[in-house]
Order: sequence, then structure tokens, then C-alpha cells
Amino acid sequence: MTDAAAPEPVTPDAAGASAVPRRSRSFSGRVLYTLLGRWGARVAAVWIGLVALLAVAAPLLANSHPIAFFDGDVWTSPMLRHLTPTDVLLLVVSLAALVLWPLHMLSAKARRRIWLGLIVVTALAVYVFPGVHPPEAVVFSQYREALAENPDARAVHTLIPFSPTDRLRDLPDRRLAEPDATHRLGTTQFGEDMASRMIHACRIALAIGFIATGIAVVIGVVVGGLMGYFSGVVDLIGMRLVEIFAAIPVIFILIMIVAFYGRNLYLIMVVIGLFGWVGYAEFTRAEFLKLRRLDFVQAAIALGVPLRSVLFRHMLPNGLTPVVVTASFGIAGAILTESTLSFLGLGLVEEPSWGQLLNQARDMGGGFYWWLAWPPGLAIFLTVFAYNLIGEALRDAIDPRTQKQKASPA
Amino acid sequence: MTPPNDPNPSTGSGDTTLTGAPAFTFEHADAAPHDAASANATKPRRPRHPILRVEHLRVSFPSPNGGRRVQAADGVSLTVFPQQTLAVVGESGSGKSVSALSCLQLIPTPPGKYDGGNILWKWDPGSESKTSKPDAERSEAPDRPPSASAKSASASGGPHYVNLRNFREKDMRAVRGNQIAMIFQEPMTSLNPVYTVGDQIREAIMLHRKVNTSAATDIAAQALKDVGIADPLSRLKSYPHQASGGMRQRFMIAMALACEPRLLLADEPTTALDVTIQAQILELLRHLQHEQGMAVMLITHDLGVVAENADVVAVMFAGRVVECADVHTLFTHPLHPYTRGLLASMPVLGKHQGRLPNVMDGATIPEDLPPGYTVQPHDPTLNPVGGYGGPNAKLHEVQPHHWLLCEKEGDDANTKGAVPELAFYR
Amino acid sequence: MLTYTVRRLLLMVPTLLGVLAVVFFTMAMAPGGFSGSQLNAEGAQTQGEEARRIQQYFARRYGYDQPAYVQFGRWLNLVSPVGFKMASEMKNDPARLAEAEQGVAGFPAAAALNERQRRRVADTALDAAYYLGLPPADVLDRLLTEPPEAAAAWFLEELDASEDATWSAKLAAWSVDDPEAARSLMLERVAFEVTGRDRVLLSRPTLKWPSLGDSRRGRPVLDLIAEALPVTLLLNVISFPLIYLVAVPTGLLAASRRGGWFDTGSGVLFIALWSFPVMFAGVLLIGYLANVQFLRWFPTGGLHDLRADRMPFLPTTLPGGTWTRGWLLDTVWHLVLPVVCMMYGGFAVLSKLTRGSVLDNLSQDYARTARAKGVPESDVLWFHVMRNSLLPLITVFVGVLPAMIAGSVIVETIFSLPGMGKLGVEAAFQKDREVIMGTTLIASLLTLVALLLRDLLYAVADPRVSYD
Repeated sequence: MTDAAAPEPVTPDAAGASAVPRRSRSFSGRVLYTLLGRWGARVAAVWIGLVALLAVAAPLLANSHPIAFFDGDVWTSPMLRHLTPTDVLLLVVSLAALVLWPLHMLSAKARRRIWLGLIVVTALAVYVFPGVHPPEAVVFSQYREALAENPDARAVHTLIPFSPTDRLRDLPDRRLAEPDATHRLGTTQFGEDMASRMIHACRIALAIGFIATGIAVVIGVVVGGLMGYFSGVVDLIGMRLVEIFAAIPVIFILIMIVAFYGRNLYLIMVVIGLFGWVGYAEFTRAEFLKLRRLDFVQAAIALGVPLRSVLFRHMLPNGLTPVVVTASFGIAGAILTESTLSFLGLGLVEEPSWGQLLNQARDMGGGFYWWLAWPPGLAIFLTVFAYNLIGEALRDAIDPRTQKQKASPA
Repeated sequence: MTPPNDPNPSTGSGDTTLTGAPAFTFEHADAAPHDAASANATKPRRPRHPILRVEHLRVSFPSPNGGRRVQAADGVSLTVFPQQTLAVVGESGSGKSVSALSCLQLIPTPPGKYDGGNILWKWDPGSESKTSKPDAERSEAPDRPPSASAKSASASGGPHYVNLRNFREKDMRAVRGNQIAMIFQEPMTSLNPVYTVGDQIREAIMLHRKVNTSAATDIAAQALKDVGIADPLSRLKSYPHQASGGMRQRFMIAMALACEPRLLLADEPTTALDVTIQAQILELLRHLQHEQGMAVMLITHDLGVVAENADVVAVMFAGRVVECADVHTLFTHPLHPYTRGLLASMPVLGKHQGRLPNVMDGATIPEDLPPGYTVQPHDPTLNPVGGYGGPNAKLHEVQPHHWLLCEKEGDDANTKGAVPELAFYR
Repeated sequence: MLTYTVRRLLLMVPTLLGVLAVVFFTMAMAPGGFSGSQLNAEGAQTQGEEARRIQQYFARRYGYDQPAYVQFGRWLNLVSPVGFKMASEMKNDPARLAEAEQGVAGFPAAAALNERQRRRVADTALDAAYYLGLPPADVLDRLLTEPPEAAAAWFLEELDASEDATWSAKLAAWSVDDPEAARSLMLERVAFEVTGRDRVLLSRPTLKWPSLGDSRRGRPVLDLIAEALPVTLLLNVISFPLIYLVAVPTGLLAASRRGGWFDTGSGVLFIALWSFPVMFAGVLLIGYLANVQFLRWFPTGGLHDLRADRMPFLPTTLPGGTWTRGWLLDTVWHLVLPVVCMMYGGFAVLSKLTRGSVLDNLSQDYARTARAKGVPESDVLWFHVMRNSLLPLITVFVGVLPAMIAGSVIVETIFSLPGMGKLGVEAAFQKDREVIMGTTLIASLLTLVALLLRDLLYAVADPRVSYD
């Protein structure tokens, strides 16, 4: 939007000497600002979508097991055979979502139901019933060796022909290799392909953000809602709880928990959630304190609506707005926390994580391996940045104060 | 409570705002005001020149939903004579406050934007002793002769006018608070919460007077005493939140009047106060106006307040002045449909009226306009808030001292309407 | 104000107890609990008999074999300034020390020692029996039945096998001179161990000095914290004012140029900086600015150079003509990169906040009033708006504090600074209960005091807030 795009009913004489507004320079700045804000959020969403895509399709993109392999006798697909139950579930669910999304003849509700049903069925089929059983002993080098020994052998590889845990035992001189044609992003100290690990690490980054924040939001909303609704003694006790959890540095308690309970991704998610609910509780409490005095809540109470219904049907939807904004920042924080833990060497050992990769850039000797620093560091930064940008855009969209400033003060 | 049919509502001015009954006890133009008549006998009662002359002021803001810019002031013309009280009446969003803020250039730009018009201020040679004359006037651009400098150029003994629209920020500051002061609607938020009342009043004084802190404190204490605050010295040390709403408005008035301005812009000074305090504050303003001899532009939507205080009334609607007359004429003989609707929607004390008409229902086209003048009915398509008359509608003096927004035969779109001048005192 | 402060201080007690309980029981509930650690004195994993012995030793020393709530109660009793005197504290009891000292003085071998040495010897003897942590009956049996020389030799062997080399060496030197004296002191100490261990000595709680116990390595936790805390505080004390000095003007500038390119650009930059992971920044800074491969402008870690304690305080040119940067400059030099890492995140948060707050206040009614008085726009900004905008910044001042402490964990680990963060992380790795609890106590106490300070500051800065 520019001045020209918003024509005004300016009469000729009014457009004369005195019509030139003062300080009009910042108007273009303001337009630029809104545009940037909007585009920022859009680019951020695209980046997170890309990370999600990489996370789902990781085994199809980076795998030591070829898509198709001919050992001289028969064609097999080692890649499909080595898919884990989680891989299968993720792929099925994402494919189903992609297929169902454009089916507009079904109502949104029906599509959602089909999708959820599919998740349950697939999960049962994959984990419980007939199950998916990838071979337990994995020899990554067998294909490379077979190809070298048998001139008849043929293989169709994935885009990156290395699994994240393939330590290239048959190629010991490939450790800590700088980026080249084979290893686009270089290799780690154990000889693992950096690009492959980067792609597979997307999963942890995504999962930790959503699950940890989900736990924190649920606890925070329930505790905050109860505090705000009942106030009095409940509030006093609740505030002490909030103070207690606010006074404990999360990163420190996480380090302690990993040291005492061992390395477990799920535990880390739960703990980030358990120790991160304070902000949500405070927001919900403030919101519920306000809402409680409003007429529609009083009316619901007066009508004899049960407490559960008052809290969750009448008040919660009205009090969730600040929580939604904070949750976006919460996801960013959770990703950052997990990376920090992995960086400190308290993350997972075998499974790749961006923080752990970043740690390797400086961990050994006195050297600095730039190719181990930039990709994971940038990945963490961009993902956190993306979530924060979305949070900012959300806040701007929701905050009545920014709305007011755009409108005329008259 | 004033009993029904009380012949003299001025004794219970608080009640007039409740009932809004315009009961007129004052005489017409030439008569001296009903009070303090003898005290002001020597005052020049009929000044020939206004101290403030707003000509066709246009201010716009971006629309909240991104459409066309909203014309908050759409060619506002007003004049204020020395020691006069001009009441500007209109509903919320009719452009009253924007016009007043524009006089001090206090519209934030952006988002606001001045699209045209002049704000002419009578330059008082006496005020040059207070502050040096701004450079803006001397360096006035040669491409701006029309009305602003034209007046000063024809200086055949007439007063000297400066166009405040051409003032730079620095020059404007010498006018603000010093020559033109302003008080606002919300006394609760209009004072800085973290500084004492004394700090804030002293700041106003020391900005415009070359005095030291202790002298400024004396002036501030005197100002507080003038607005009827007991124990001013200890009040100076208090914070705004420690005072009641009425008290804070008194602080605001004391702060505004500390530099003895010639014009006070009072932007709904009593709206946020309760009724008894309203009466006190208005009484105080009247008293100080007589004492200091300043003019007041009183912005309000309370017709009771208007009837009590105003000499001249300008009715605003949709960013335009639709009618301007002395207070007596306006209440007894309104011409514009909007003014008629406004007055018809007012309850009359002691009269059982049933359901009051709303403003637009009561808006009737007057039949007794002089020949050649027509007033168009309300047209909601004209402006986001609707308006009267087409682009040709202008202010015309349809009767002596009675200005009306209407169309005149033979008028075309290129001429601007006249600026109403009403040197009327009650 | 005073009543409010006292009330808040009292409310701090349950909160602090809550924090400590959460941390303590999280540790105690872990599979294996505290005794799960099988690291020996060198921090290496142990197995089999050695592991069992180490576990048994720690269990006895810290009472890990007792239920978690008893352990927590005993720990609370230890840190509380009002509490019961425990038998295990008697080793620090001045009266008993004096008694042991007299005992030492009575031996011919002690004749050559001065008073300070005698005190050390007595102290050492008391400590020795306590820390040895051998089954008391076993020790008693040997000391009572075997000849002094054999008993002493056996004891010295045990000491050699045990942890702390310094005092076992001292005791060894001393007991070889006079095995009989060693034996009698040991007897006294062991008898005390047998009868007095972990019992409440007085039935009524008394005032005492709070103690944080001893770390697994034997040093008092208070000493460890007294060494680590100044490092963390130094980092924060340098970073905080710098952050405010840079961030507040930047935020103000962005607000006063609202909508301009500076505002727009800085808005995105603030979010970007805020999102930038500290460890990435640290790795890049060390990698490019401190590494041999690239620029070697800064040290890779640590707080001082190895030779720092032999440097003069200020930069000087030594008599030989060589220039030395001195202790002060050396410290500053070491702190540049960590402070940068600590700063930029807080800077981003604070600038963003300042900008929002100033913009908010610029559109307030009182700012309009000030303009209507004829106050110059710069004075409106600096005098009227600034003071009001600072109020939310006070809240953040404290809101950032726990984050800064957490930030210190990462920064201290990356740059190997011996601060509270590093102490805590290492303690967690070693499952050192006393150190973990000690660091938690100090960290949460700092946070709570900062919270209180925030509210008091708020009352000072905002005349509308009053706690009376």
C-alpha cells in the first residue's frame, strides 16, 4: 500500500501549499515493516515445513541401504526392509495427510476422522500386530563391499547414500573429512556423514518442540486456570508453586536429571514440559482473573452450568490467546534447550541431534572443524528464529494495542 | 436538587447536565453578562478581530480496516474572539478534538496527516516579551501568500496574524502552553504518574518564563491556590495518583493557566468527572476566564454545559462545522437538521416526554431558510460517518450572526465557504 | 515497606524449601538414587568389589542408606542456622579439637612442631578416622588387639587406599614418628564414630553456623561455592550494565525512529539475536577468534593465564624491557568472548522491550499533556516517557536473571570458566549430592532475592506502587 494506492478526495486548492504532510518519510518505513513482518512469518512457516518434510522423509533421503540392490541374482530393496516402525508410521501418516488434504468432497471433520483412524490403525499394525521388524544386526558396509567385489552388483542409492549411524568402518580414512563430492557436508570424528545426520536430526528438533511445549501448556493452563478461577487459598498455593518452578534454572535441573536418570529423549521432553509451565500458568491465571468477573461467566455460573463446563467450555477458549503466542516462543525455547543439553554431551549418543553435532565441532583436540559447526548451528538458529518470528507475528496480530496504534486516535 | 420549573438553573448548574434543560436566563448580545457585569465595565466588549481563526482545516487518518483515509476534520472553520467562550459541540468522532489538537499541532503525524487549511493566530506584541518572535514568520515561504500573510501584509493598523500551520516544531513549542494551553478529558491519565504535581507545573512555568526553581515553585503554588486548592505547598509535593479526579483536573487547569495563556483549549474537561465536580470545574474555569481575560474553546457533547458557559456555539458533524451561532439563537432557533435533531433528543426538565427521539429521527429540514439556500438531508454515503450536503455545501451566513452549512444557488465547488466570525458575548 | 519486606522474606522460606525439596527428591527418586555413582576419586568408572566399597563408603558418609525424607531432613538441619547439632559435625567442634591438640602436644614427636602445626595434626587425626569410613568394629578390633606398629601400618595402608592424599600423608608422617600417639587419637576418634555417628547430640535446637556439608572430594561445599560464585557474579556484573548501556539507547532510538529503516531493521535483528544459540556463538567465537587455525586473538578458555599470579596488577614494562599485560588486563582479555556470549541475547530482549515500552508510553495521555505544555519532543522522550518506560524494564532485570544463570552454565562450560554453572554441571555428573544442593540453594536464593529486589525497586521507581 502506498500513497497512490489510497486515493483521497483532495480538492485542488487543498492539495496546494499546505497539503504536503510533514514527516511522511516514515510511512514507507511503516509499510516496509508490516511487509517484512508478514513475509518473515511466511518464510518462517516455509522453513519449518521444510524441516518437517526432511524429518518425515529422512530415511528416503539419507540411507546407507540402497533403494534397490542387485546382488547378481535378485533385486531387493534393503531400504524398505530396514525402515523402523516409527519411519513407517510417520510416512503413512504424512502421506495420508497429503492425500486427504485436497479431498474437498469430504467435510473437514470427516477428513480429520479418517486421518486419526489411520494413525491408530497404522500404529497398531506397525508396533503391535504383525509389526515391522527391521533386522537387528545392521552392516552398513555390505553394499559398498558387494559393489566393489561383485562386478554384476547394481544399486540404486538414495540422495545421500549414508545412514546417520554409518561409521564407515570399511573406510577408516574418511573420518573428519572436509566437505567433498561424496560427503557434501563432510564427516564427523566417527566417520558418519554430516548431511545424513543433519537430515535425521530434524526429527528430534521437531518432536521435542511440540511434545515438550504441549506438556507445559496443558499443565500451565490447568494450574493457571484453577488459580485464576478459585483465587484465595488455591491462588496462594499456586503462586508458591509458580515461584518454586520459576526459581529453578531449567537447564540445571535437566542436566541433573540426565545425570541421575540416564539419557532418554522422552524423559528430556517431559522434563522440559514439567519445568516450563510457569509462564503459561501466569498468563492463564491473569486471563481467568479478568474473565471471572465478566458477565458471560457470571451468567453461566448463575445458570448452574457445572464447574468443568464453566472452566473449559466458557472460559478457556477466551483465555487461550496469550497462551497461543507464548507457546510459539515455548517451542523455540524447547528446541534451544534440547540443543544445549546435547551440546553439553547429555543428549542421545547414537541418534543424531543438532546440538550434539555442534559439540563435535570443538570437542576434540584443539582443532576447530568449521563444517561441523555451521550446518547444525545454522539449523538450530533458523528453526528457533522461525518459531520466534511466527510468535512475533501472532502477537502483533492478536495484541489489541498494536491494533489500536494502527487505527486513528480520533 | 433543583426543583422542577426552577426559573434560575444557574444556581444548580450541576443539574442542568443531568436534565440538559436549556433554560435561558441571559439577555441577548449587547447586554452585559449576568454576573460580574460591573467588574468588566471597562473591558473592550466588542473586539473587531478574533485571536484564533481556523480556516478550512483538513486532517485525515488511515482507516482502521485499510480503506480510504478517514477525514477527521473535513474543512473546519472557526474563530475565537478575545475573552470569548466558544463551545464546539458534536458527537464522538465528529472532529472536535482533532480540530483543537490541530491548533497546537499535536496530531501525531503519522498516522495523522494535515491535508490543508490554515490556523491563524493573532500575534500579540505583548507576548514577545515572553518569548522571542519565531523565525517561522520572518522566513515564511514566498509561495504562501494567500490568506496568512495577506492579512499581515495589509497591515493598515490591523492585527498581525501568524499561520501556526507553518510553524516549525521549535517555534510551535513557544506557543504551546504559553499562548495557547490545553486541558484534556482524562485527568486520570493526563498527568505523568511518576513525577510530583509540583514538578509538572514547574516544568510548564520554567519552559516559558526565565525564572529559577524557587520562583517557579511560588508561581505554581499561586496557580494551585487560584484553582481553589488548599495547602498548595504540600500539594505540590504529592503525586497525581494521590488526588481525586476533580483534584487532578484542577492540577491540569493550574498547569495550563500557570503561564497565563490567551486561549485555553478545553477538550471535554468534565466528561470523566462526576456531576457535582463537573459543576465546580466549570465554575472555576468561568471564574479564571474572567480573572485572566483569556478565551476558551470548550469542546463538549453536553448541551447543558454549553447553555451554561458558551458565548458562541459551533456544532460539528462528520468533520465539518454544520452550524455556528450565538448560544441564544442556536438553542431557540436551530436551523441545521443535525442541530435540530440534537436539541430534540434532549429531555426537558419537568416535561413528561415519553421516549425521546434519537438524533437522526429528530433531524428535520428547516422550512424558514432564506430563499436560495437549501440544506440536503443526511447522506450516509458521503463519509464513513455520514454527512450533510454535497461537495457544494459551505458555511453561509443565512441570517445575521447565524452561520449554516448549506448550498446556495449559484455556488460552485471551487470556492471555499466563509469563516464564521461571531464577536458575541453573553 | 519494612513489614512488606519482612513478610516477603518469610514467604521466601516455603518457596526455598519447595525448590530444595523438588531438586532433592528428583535426585533421590532416581533409580539407584545418590549411591548410584560408582566413580572413584579419579572420576573413573569402577566395577565389582571396588565399586561396592566406594558405594558403601559414600552411603555411610552421607547416610544414603537411609530413607530419602530422613536424608532431606538431615540436610536441612545441616544448612539451617537453627538446628540440632549432629555427632558427625563434632569433627569440627573446637572443644574437641583443643582436646586433641593437647593430646598431640603431650607426645615427644610433637615437641618440634609449632602451635599451628600441632593444630593441623590434631585436626588431621580427627578427620582421618572420620573420612576413612571403615567399619568401626573392624577398626576398633584391629587397634585394640594388634600392636601399635602393626595397627599404624595397617591404618596407613588404608589411608593410602583412600581419597585425600594430603592429609593421609601428613598423618602418615606424624604417626610414623609416634605410632602410640596416633593409635590413641585414632581410638578416641573411632570410639566417637561408633557411638556418636549421625545422632542428634542436643535435644534442643540451637543457633549454629549453617554448613553446606562436604563434597565427595572432601572439600567443604561452602569453600567450593566461595570460589565459584565470584566468577559467575563477575560475568554477570560485567554483562548486566553493558547490556543496559547498549540496549536501552538502542530501543529508544528504534522507538523514536518508529517505522524508519532503523526500527524495521533492528526489529528483525533483535529477534534474530535472541534466537541465536549461545553455544553456536561460543563455538564460532572460539573457532575463528581464538583458534590456532584462524585468528588467535583471544584465549580459548579459562579466567586467567597460567602465569597470571606472577603478573603485576597493571600493565607494566618489566626491568628487562619486556612488556607484560598484567593481571587486570589478562582477566579482561580472558573475559571478552564469554561476556560477548552472555550479552547479545539479553541485549536483544531488552532492546525489544524498551522499544515496545517507549512506544506504548509515547502515545499515552501524559505525553500529550507534556507536548501541550510546550515541552520539546526530546524532553518528552527522555524525561517524561523514559522514566515510565523503565518500569517494565525493572521487571525484566530480574526476569533475565535466572536466564543469565542458565546462560552462565553454557558459557562457563564452553569457555571452561570455574563458575557456579560449571560447578553445578560437574556435580551433577558426579552425583555429588551436597554440591548439587549447595548450588541449588545459592542459585534459587539469588533468584528469590532478585524477585524481592524487583518488587522493592518497583515501589521506589513508581510512586503509585506502595506496599504499606
